[in-house]
Amino acid sequence: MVAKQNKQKDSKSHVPFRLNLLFFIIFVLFAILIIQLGFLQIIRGEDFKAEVQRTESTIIQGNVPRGEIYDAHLKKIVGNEATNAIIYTRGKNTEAKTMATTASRLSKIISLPHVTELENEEKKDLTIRDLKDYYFAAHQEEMEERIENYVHKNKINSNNFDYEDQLELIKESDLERMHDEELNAAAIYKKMNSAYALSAVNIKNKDVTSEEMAAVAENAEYLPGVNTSTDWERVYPLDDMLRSVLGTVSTEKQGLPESQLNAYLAKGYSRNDRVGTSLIELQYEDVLRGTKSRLQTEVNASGDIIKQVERYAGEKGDNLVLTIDTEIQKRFDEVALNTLAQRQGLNDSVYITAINPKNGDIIAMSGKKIVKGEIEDDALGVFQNSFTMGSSVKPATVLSGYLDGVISVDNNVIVDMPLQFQGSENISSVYNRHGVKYLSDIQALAESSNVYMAMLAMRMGGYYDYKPNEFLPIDAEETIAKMRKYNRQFGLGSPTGIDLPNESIGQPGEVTNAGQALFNAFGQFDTYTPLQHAQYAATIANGGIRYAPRLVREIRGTNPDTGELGALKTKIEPKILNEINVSKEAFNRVHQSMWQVANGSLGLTPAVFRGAPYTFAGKTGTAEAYYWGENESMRGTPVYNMTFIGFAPYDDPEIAVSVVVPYLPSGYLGTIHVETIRNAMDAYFGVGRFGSHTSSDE
Amino acid sequence: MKKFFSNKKLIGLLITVILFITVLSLSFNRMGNIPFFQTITNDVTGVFGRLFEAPIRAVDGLFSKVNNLQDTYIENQRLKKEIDRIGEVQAENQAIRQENEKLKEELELQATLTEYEKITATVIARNPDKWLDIVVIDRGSTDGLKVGMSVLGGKGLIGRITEVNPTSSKVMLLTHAEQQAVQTSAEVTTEDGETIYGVITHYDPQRKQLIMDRITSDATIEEGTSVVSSGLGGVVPRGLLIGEVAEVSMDEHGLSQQIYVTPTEDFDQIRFVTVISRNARTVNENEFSKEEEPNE
Repeated sequence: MVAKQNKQKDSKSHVPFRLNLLFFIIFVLFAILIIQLGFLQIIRGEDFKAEVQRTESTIIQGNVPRGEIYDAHLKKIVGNEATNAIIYTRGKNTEAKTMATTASRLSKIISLPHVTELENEEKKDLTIRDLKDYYFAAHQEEMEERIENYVHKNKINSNNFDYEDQLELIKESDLERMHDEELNAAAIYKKMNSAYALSAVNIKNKDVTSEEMAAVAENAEYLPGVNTSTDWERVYPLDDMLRSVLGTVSTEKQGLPESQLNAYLAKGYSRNDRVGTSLIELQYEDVLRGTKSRLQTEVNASGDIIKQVERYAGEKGDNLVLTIDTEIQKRFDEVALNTLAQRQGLNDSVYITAINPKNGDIIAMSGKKIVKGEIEDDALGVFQNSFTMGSSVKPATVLSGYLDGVISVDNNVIVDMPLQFQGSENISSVYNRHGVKYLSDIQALAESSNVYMAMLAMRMGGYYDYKPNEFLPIDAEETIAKMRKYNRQFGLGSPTGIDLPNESIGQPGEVTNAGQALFNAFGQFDTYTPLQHAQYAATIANGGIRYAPRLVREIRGTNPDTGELGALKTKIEPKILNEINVSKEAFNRVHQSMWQVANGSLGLTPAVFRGAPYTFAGKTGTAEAYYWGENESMRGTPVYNMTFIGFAPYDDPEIAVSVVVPYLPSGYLGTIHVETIRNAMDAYFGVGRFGSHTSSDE
Repeated sequence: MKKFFSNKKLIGLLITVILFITVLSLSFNRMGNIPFFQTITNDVTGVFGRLFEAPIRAVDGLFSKVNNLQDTYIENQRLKKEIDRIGEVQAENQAIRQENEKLKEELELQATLTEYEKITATVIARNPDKWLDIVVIDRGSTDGLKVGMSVLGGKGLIGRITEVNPTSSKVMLLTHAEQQAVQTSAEVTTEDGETIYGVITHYDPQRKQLIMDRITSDATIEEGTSVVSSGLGGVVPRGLLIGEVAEVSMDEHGLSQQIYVTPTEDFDQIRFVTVISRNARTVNENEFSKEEEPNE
């Protein structure tokens, strides 16, 4: 009974226990599952979500406007003008398809002028390849299908079937079917595709209408990466003035110059940055470029930009204040054009350069040149073209004589008579072809004696006792080297030190004959640039201090309230290159002789300067030269270069001027160079023709 | 033992836990833009919001009603006089409306940029965390609201609808920190009658002013001039008052002008709003509705 009871009890409790055990196990398993689920969802959920939405924060640099350029009186020469722009900032690994979608949407609200290769093969800006790129991106599914079919049909390993091959599957008919909006989208896509990851490009920055700006702004939410912006473009309020020395800025499309790409990249430039590519814009690139803005950009796990916050607004490039006085520059341009209007023979250009002898400031530099019948600005030629200058270098020769000790204040009288040599050309002074005349240095310069200068050269070569019809017993190379050494102290034949790149230093003649040293003494051998000529005039004017000519006087910031020129940042000090070790008396003698040239009783020059309300001193020059201009077939034709240097006022010079009128007909007897310098001086002092009104077109 | 492993209870417990976890995970997992679950919560909180709002407003209203009673009497007298004039004004209106219709027909203008319908709504929630970013209103898709519609406060434009649920919607304010979604094309008219276009791109929380830039004109803009929406963007209708010019200055680079705009609306006190439904169809309206978004 007990056993039976036990058995019954056992069997009774046995089944539910096993069932319960089963339930228990299931419960435990479920519990584990749920705990794990809860763990994943609630405790680790945030982490996983963060992992999915992981963002990366990167700093993107943004463009800032370039510094502007002002004249000596703070008048704007080069400025920036704000333009509306639509920009695209590409994400980290934005897919082509996403970009195509954005481009397609954008094409509905903005229009980007384009010419496809299908329409015009010559003037296209949208090639077949560009269209195919867009087609591929915009019709990704269709393309994948085509590729699969093709690969399958031709049994090609799809790994060997690269993008180039895949593009082949797009037929011309596909492209021809694209309607205007799609072509527009393709043009937009091309711009977007040109962006590097995490950098911004302008999709459109020309002629963006208010409607386009508004539509992009209000729909920006649906156009990932696209936004409105303000861009700038260079403007020149004074039109063509000095354009040839202001230099150029590359376009966004040109970007950095290929030759120095790495140097620029190392300095923190982006590939599509606009940089100065020539002259002032190039020379002062570091000043003008400014500091880029910094945008903190958050990128999500798939590389899309989700947030941009400006961390640093950047700083506009600093502004340059030039030494040039645009008012005088304008008058000089006028004088130059007037001179050019009276041109004769092969004369095709004129250069007028004015330097302040007290500090080397270039007051104005005007160059005008005729190219294919059109007058062009050639201020560039002032320091890039060189000419034989003729007698206007004689003051340098006399002072070289003093430097070398072959003449002195007490002992400087030399006999002027026609010189005859064996194996070298004969030399005589223009005014004294036959006789014998005793000349002091003052007289020699005032009367422009070639013989006196040649004698100085002979003395510098160690030959004091001239006898007719002898071979010149001087070492040509040594003598010329010596003369050049002295000339370079005045700026003739040496770099002037101007703050511009690519300065020419003139052309030293090839020494073959001792007679050349004698010709060099009166400016008939080496060639110099008008700028060297002007620096030399300034060095004579101030009594022997050679300043480096400069165009930029100050660097200034921008006033944040008005956008106008701001506070002074750097004052550029005048740079003294060297001083000429000649006594004050000797300089005074040279100055006196130059006063004689302009105010004495000899020649045509005083007639031209008669009545000037300022006291001018100068020296003319006529070089017998050979044409070496643009017209190649005429090269080698004998011509006269008419030149002039001078300074004023005589007592305390504040302007030194050089005038070069090259390639006049051989034998020219006119006074165009004298008239030009008189006009230039009148222009500077605001007298005569320039006295009654301040400017010609106001 | 037996009690503890009771099947019903056990299964009940399991189901409860599973449900709990599901609900939790659903709310944490915000895939997609407006998940179903969020929509429900938004609507539910909306209802509760109104539940609390209503009695408070009733009490609040009682006091002002008594105050207003006196004013009402005086106003009533004045209005009676005006009613006499209404008849003739109506007749005149009728004539003008007909004339307007006719002229429009002649010009083939289907709908001008300024035509729009208004839907009024009440603010039911505002998160202190995002006080200047978003408000929630008590109207939704059932009232015809759509994403992108402009929202006016009592005096001027305050923002745009960015999320629509059946009975409530979220309005992103112009003062939103990351303004991308609510950039608004604006215009200012100078004394010479020149219209200057720009975009409201920033909000300066220190100055409590909106910043309008992308201005290429260098015309002189007088302080105090009204800034209104330009309607050129196709999303915001034209002529909605945004604010007035507080200060005109140059941007940080001295390149172009930028205008500080004092908003007409006090963004701290937004209670009733008007949603503007734009009738005029421009090129791009509805072009970029969310459904079209390929990445989502």
